[in-house]
Amino acid sequence: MKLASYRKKSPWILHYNAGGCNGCDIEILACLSPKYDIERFGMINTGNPKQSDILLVTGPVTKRNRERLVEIYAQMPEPKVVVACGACASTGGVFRGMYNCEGGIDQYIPVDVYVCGCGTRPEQIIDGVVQALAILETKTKELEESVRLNKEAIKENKQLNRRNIADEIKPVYT
Amino acid sequence: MAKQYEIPIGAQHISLLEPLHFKFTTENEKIVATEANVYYVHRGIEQACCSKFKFRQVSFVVGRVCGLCSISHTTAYSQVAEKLLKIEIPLRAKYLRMLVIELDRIHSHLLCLSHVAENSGFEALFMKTMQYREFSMELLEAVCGNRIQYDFSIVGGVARDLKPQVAQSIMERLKKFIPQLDELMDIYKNNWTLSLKNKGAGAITKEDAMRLNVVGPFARAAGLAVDVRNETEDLLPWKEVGFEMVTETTGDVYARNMVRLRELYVSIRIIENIINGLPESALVTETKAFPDGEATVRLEAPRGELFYYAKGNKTQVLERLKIKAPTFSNVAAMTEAFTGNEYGSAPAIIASYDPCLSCTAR
Amino acid sequence: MNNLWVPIILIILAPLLGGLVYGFERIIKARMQRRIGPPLLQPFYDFLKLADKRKMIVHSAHAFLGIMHFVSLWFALAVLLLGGDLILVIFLHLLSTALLILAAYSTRSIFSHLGANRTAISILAYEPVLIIIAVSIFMLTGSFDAAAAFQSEQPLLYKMPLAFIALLLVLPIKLKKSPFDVAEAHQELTGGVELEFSGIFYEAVYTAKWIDYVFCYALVYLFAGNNILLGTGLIVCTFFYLNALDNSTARVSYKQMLRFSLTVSFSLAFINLLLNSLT
Repeated sequence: MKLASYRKKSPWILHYNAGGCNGCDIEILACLSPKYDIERFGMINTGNPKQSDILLVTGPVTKRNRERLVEIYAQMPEPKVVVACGACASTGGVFRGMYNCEGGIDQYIPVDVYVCGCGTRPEQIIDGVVQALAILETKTKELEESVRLNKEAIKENKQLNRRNIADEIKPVYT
Repeated sequence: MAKQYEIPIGAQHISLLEPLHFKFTTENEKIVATEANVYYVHRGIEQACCSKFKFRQVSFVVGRVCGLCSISHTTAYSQVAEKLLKIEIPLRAKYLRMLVIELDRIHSHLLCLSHVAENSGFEALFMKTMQYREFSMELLEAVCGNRIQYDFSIVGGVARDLKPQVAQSIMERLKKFIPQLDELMDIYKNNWTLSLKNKGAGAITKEDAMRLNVVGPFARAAGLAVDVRNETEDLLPWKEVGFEMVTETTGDVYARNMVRLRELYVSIRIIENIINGLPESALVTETKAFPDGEATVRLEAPRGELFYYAKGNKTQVLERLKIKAPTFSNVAAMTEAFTGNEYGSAPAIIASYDPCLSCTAR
Repeated sequence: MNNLWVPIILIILAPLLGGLVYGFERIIKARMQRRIGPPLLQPFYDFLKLADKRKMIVHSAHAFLGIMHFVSLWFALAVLLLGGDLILVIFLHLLSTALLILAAYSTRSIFSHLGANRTAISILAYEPVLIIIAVSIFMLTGSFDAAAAFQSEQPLLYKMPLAFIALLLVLPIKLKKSPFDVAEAHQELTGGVELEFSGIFYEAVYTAKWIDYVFCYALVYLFAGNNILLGTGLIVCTFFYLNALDNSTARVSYKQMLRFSLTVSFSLAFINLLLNSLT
């Protein structure tokens, strides 16, 4: 199938704030604006998990947000890519070790691209998403191969709940 | 009685920037009751500020309470820490803080306005407002070094100086922005379909606003003349730089838009005045003291009154820090103002509150 | 349109044509908002992408109704282009929308239900106007057949300008354009009726939108009679009118939409009918 190459040209994004400070969220909004205009790449900000390909997550995962995050991730049909926007989504950032926070979203869902910065710049977000597109393509290929050759879908076992959810994070700095 | 539908919005919804949850009980799409759940973003910053971080680091941490008004948080914290340290900051630092707060207000208000337009289904206006907003982001980057999360205020003063060429470019860009603002004002005021959506939506009376303790543009749209810039003079000399109170009377989404737009004119004037009369002095007051005693500070963030309380005990780490964000005061009125509106205007109403839940929940 | 091949080719190419119109519209819309916008073939990229996305269906009837919506809409377009009965065309279009509404009601999602409610209300808003227009065409040509309108020597536009204005006023409702995009209402309902579709089943609903474009522009073309130049002019004018309207208005509430449509658009079409029957 040659369809995989077209996936790259029409990534629909879904944005979820998992408890961040809004900073990265307004930069994602700025990406939609005329100056950055991510619709050039065919991206649409759908609010619907069932029709999106790329999940943009900002913020460290707060304890009330984690179920929602995992649920949204589970609702997205494969192949899908997760982009962690900003320092706190990647590692927990300044919030790491606070009592109601987890250190980054990769403790709950597999993350493909980490975008650094506090807050991340729109250029970085666009770059991250474009990198995510390449991953999306390889993932599609893997998925197709797995369907055709009846193999395991993704070699690494990047399933949900890699860590025990109840696991406490040690404070980094006391 | 018509069948009642319960419509949940959130925690993830296209019209929301942040995880918040509203549950509307509707009859024929008319909202009869609202439940709000705003504590999705609680991270425990206050506790961390009193245990993990030293008091000079806290000003960077509290900036991460909210990305939209981070300068208000850092400034308010710096002020409360300076009160505990009993130092007076240099004059130039005071004026630079006001400058960045007002620039931040411009970007925050324009973001809110564009979000109202987007949620009213007016995509072209959203794009237009976002395009005009970019200039404030560029200026903030030129002044502070980052588009958002500019850790400009530090305990004792400010982190960076304003270079003359940056000051000049601010003046030029503001001159260019004024006709664009007139254009936006015209659209928000006179577009017929937008006024159909916005006029009378989410209205709150002056008495209710008073009773429910509303602050910020939300209160000023209802006719309450509440603005910290009008009340305190001891920390930042707002009146000296040309602050003016802006109020409307109707208290609906339209009035909130008007308050925000007219406040932009005030902000522009304040910035011009500051740059024209910027005094020369040092930027930071150095001190070796440790925070001691108790202090409170109030500051007008873009969304309303921001309140900080801190208690020190002569060590590096604060004993207690309390943040009361403007949206926290508004939550009660937010749920109340939905009643009787169409569900269709609910996203626009939410956007017009300009809720900042990461401030509220911390 | 004496030649039978033209409509047949149009029918077969309808999704392609609609996709191109949609792609062009997205560019025009972006340019009106001072953006660059997506490439022209973007709708087809979306189409191909959705084809190999994993399918998550709510239940089989839901997916089936979505596909039937697409099929019956295409069928309605075919009947219109082949010059069939206008009442039948309107009925088939109604049927296709009704299938989508059923599909939306069959899920448990509240947003889907609201979207279905609003779609039903928008049918109430535009369907009477379309029927009045069909009746007016009957009064003028003596036949309910679309072929009679396509073949009339004198363009119908000269006889029924008010009805054409009425059609222009209801087209935004059908095409889900601002200010009357209450059925889709991205910020309120995140798509409404199409919310629960995904993968290849969403594709059916997505492509049906393109066919709706061709359908609407074919309705516009009805007013030009056998004058191809006028017809093309009307379609181009309608295209730019729709986009300009979309980019200069906010969404109104569904009650306001219904009131506006039933008072202004409906009366315009009805006055036209009265004038035609008097003369």
